[in-house]
Amino acid sequence: MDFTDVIDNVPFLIAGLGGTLTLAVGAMVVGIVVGLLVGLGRLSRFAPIRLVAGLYVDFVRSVPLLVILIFYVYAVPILVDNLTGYRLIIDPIFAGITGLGLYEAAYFAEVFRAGILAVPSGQREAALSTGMTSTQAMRRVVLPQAVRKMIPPSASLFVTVTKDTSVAFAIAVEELMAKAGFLVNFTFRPIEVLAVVAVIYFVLLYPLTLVAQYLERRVMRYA
Amino acid sequence: MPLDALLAYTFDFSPVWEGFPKLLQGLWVTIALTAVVMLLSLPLGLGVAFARLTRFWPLKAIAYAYTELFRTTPLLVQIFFAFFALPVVIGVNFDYFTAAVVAFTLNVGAFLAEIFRGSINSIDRGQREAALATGMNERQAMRRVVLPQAIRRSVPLVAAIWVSLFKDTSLVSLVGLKDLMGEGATIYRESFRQIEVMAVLAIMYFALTYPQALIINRLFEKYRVRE
Repeated sequence: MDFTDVIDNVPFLIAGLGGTLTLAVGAMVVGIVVGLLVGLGRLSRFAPIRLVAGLYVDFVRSVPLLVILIFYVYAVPILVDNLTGYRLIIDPIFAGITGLGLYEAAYFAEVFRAGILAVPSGQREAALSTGMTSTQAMRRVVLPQAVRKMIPPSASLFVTVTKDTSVAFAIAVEELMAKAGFLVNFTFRPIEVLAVVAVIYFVLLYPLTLVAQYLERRVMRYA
Repeated sequence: MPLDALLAYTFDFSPVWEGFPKLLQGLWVTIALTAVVMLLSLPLGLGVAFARLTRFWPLKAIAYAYTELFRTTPLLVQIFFAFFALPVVIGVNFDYFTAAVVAFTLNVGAFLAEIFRGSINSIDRGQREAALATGMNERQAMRRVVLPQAIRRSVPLVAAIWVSLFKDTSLVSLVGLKDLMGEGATIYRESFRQIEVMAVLAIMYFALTYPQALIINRLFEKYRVRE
């Protein structure tokens, strides 16, 4: 064992960690926004919307992330080129954020749907009977209560998203795993490099899992 | 108009059809890997769950460290470790398939251990106490009363982990094992028909995974906790 090469290159790895965090936070934002829309779509009274949202969730959750990401980076530029004639060159980090975000959106949609369904239907009915419209009842009465139930699963989903960012190294995003692969080839020190990388991920994510567990216990207590 | 524009790209699926026997070979690797890992991870997960529930603290600490380490680091790091570092650590060279089995079994084992532990803990304390009161010893109470109920409760969760396992095996293509994804990648690298190859792969994965997801939904219905 010789950690000197790895220790010398820790700044290099930390630069990759920046990529990992950018991906994780960006994908989380895309995932929450798109996931909320898809989740509401699954509860829509309008059958075609329900169908499309359902297909999206079922399809994305049944195909490996790696397959989706690779398809996404090759298919999107060609489709854009065909539709608009514009030669799109997507930046890997942008492709990573949007691709990963659209993938996680399917999982968020399920979290949101479950959260909304967990609010007793009497709440919505009471809101409607006071004269609110369906949209008002959803926004003022149901969603605020549903959000509390969505927080713990969203926190654990964030841990999963951060772990999933490592797959983006397959589409040439410069995140921690890509830097690690490069360093392994460069130093021929796979054990040391991978051990340090595992420690970095662990130090980053272990506190988050504890927070997720804490939130879960809290919400359960006041359920 | 959008449809016309889409048709401007000339799709050519012939490399995919020519390579289809290869894809099927890869699919066989994917299925074999999933099946072997399912079998091996069950006893591992159950053993670790028991280790976490013992009163013997060193065993408990090791089991806790194992589950947390494997649940909070990316699967890809674990796969890289099994492929590139483990042979050096233990001084034995093994083939790619074995390396993949080691990585996935350790990963899935950690998740299953948490499920089994959670299920055992979720069984009402009164069940164990009642079993003890009838004269059973600890071991009998666990095996005859608590465990059968806990296993029942964990069935859908274990099935869900196994479905993610089936999808996650695609990651081994990144380290050179020729599973379904790996064979697909070989075809598009030679033919530059990424969209066509990946579309067919996505459909194949979907066709194989979606029925599994439906089975899980039924399991959740069937084994729903009624209290």
